[in-house]
Amino acid sequence: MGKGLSFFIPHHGRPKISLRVPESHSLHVCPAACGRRIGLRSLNNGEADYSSFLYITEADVISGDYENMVADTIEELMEVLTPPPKAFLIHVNCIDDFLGTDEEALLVELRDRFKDLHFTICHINPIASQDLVAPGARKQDRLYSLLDRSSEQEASVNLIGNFVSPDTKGELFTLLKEWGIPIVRQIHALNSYDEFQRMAAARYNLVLMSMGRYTAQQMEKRLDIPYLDMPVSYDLNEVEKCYHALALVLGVVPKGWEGYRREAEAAIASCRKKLRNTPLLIDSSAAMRPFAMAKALQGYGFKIAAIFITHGKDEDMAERQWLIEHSPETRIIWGGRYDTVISHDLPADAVAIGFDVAYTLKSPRFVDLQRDETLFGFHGIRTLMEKIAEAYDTETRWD
Amino acid sequence: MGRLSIYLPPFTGDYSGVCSALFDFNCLIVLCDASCCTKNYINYDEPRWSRNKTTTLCAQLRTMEVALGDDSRIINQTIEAAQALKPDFIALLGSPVPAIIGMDMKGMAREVEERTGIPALGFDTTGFVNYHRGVSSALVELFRRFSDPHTPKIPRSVNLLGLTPLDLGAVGNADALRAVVEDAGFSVVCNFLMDSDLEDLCQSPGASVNLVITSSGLALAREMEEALGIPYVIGMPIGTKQTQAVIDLLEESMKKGISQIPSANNQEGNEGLLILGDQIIANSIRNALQAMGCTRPVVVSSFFELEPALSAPADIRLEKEADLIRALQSGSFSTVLGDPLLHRIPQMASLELIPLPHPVISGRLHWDEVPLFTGEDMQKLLHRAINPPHQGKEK
Repeated sequence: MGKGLSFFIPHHGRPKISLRVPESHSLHVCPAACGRRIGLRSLNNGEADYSSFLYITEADVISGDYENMVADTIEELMEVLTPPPKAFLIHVNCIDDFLGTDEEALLVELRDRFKDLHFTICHINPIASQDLVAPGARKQDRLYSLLDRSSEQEASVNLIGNFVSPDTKGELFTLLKEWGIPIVRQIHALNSYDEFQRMAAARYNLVLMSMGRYTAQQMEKRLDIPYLDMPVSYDLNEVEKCYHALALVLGVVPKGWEGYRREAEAAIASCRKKLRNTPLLIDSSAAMRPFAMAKALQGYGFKIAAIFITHGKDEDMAERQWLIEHSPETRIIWGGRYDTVISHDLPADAVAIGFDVAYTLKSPRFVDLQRDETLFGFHGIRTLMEKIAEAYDTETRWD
Repeated sequence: MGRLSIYLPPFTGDYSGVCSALFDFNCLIVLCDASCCTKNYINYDEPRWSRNKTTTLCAQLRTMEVALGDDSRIINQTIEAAQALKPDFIALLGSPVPAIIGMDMKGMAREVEERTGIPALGFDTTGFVNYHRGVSSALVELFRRFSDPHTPKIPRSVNLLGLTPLDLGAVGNADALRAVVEDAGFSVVCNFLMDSDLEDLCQSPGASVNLVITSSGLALAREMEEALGIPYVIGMPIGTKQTQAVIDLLEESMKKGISQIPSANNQEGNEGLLILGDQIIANSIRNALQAMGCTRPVVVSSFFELEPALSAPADIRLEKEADLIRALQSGSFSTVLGDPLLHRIPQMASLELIPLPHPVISGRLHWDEVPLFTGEDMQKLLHRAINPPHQGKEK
């Protein structure tokens, strides 16, 4: 999305999950206001016991004293936190990009003073959003930087990038088991720091969200774990290609998903029949690759009235271009722009996939999907179809 | 240890205070931040949000333009947005990065105003200080800019100063407070600043007296007294007797032309009650309790402003969470009246907590539970607080 004044759609009460390393504690070193949404979100998520805040003042910025305060703060936290954490994630914010904090010196001091603890520094700095590696991707890498190289390899894979597990009833887990991979680890599903360290013994990292790709690249360099890009897709052929590639890297015969594909095809046909010509609206809060979702659904015969972009990523530029060329009736609306939000003209009877577009239009037919969460593979396509059909039949009321 | 917070979330910052104060106006707000500050306000500090509200915009600051000191993009895009949205006025707000690099919000506002002809205000908000500074500065700036000092005096009229959802929620307190004052035979000229428009603000110098409801209204009350000779009364109408006391002070202030500040007293003894919140609201709760015959010690404490002139000797200004923990451990208190999130502090375990949500602490987690300060729920809360926990409660 182009840089400009942006309008944010309020997400009152919408869940937003932050990744954390099990048995770690996050210390946010920032101006008081910077941590507000993090503090309230962690309370909302029941994770407030794992975060603390060290507020810095303008005077600290001038003196640089905040760097000296961190170690004493860790000591104080170790006296009161029960159970004591095994690792600390020191989070700094946008202003740190202009302060020149000596991170390496700080980490050396902390590791020297607290020999049994592990430390890393994370940046929450959307001001650097135009950097080659996006702040969110860099932050994920910092979490996994706590992994130590493993001398052994086990029959496991890690799912990287995703904030929520794919539905465990989906074929991904079944196929992996059939292909000799009984253990699938995801950082948000682990309970201990030791279990987290076992991620270093995985055979492969499967990158389900692009935000994890940089992490996977770094893990390949640091830990010799190769990775495979497996972004969530709603295109039957892409899903099949994805499983084919996975089977090959695991060294097994690429087959076993045919039945799941047939189920997905049946769900698509059923949903198409129900909706007839009812148009769809797709927004970027629902899918990490909204243009790719739109292209896939268009291919099944759905009518896509508009794609509503509030979080533009470059992941599906090719699909965007395809839609511009082959589906000129599909409008692309930059929802973060105040001018497009105040002057839209979209069909009121459309099924709106994603909160941002549904909220803006007060759409009665709302598919509550956030960042593809829980959807993956053929099972994901089937579930999406069920959600669309349900939204078509159900009226959402907006107060 | 310094400003470490383990149990309570960070509080609402000054930029949210300004945005909140401007919410009811047709004002284009441009918050000069990367994205998080705008999200803090929209998602966590504004309970009145509506789907039609599209005029609080994020400038999307990026590293390079900040490093180069280039504010031309923001100025140009603000002008474009103003031409599209046609606001009555424009506000440009700072955040931590503009604060540390010295971005001149007032200078940018002057340039925007010169080029658009639309009034523009610059606020040097920083995110390093709390909401109160933001609300307070917005009230004063708006008054200076839009009020008409030549407005004729309106007999038996009042401005309500310091009305903010950040202290009062959005549950109807503005209407209820207006009703209390009107029932006493006064007319309300301007609610600073909930449910008011520029016309109300313009006429505000015509009021006979100002009623300061929260600490955020105090700076404006002093300015209006100095500039226009309008006296003020400090106090939130809470409970029957305290409400009557506030009305009596309004009458007296209007009659004598002198400001009226109720005295603040601590009583000595054990099993004290600690009230945590905005100083003027907390003082008013104490006064209401004492008017009801409460004999236990009542101490007011605040993480925000605590004016010495409005404080009783034992009142406590809290600089950091550790100060509150020290107070809770002191053995002086058996009850705390304050935000529900205080229960997270381990030292609260042996104390009674009477929950009174403060949106600048718990935000959207509890903002719907803020009581009507003039209503039944508040009365019940006072009856619960009047005696220590083991002595039973008044019905």
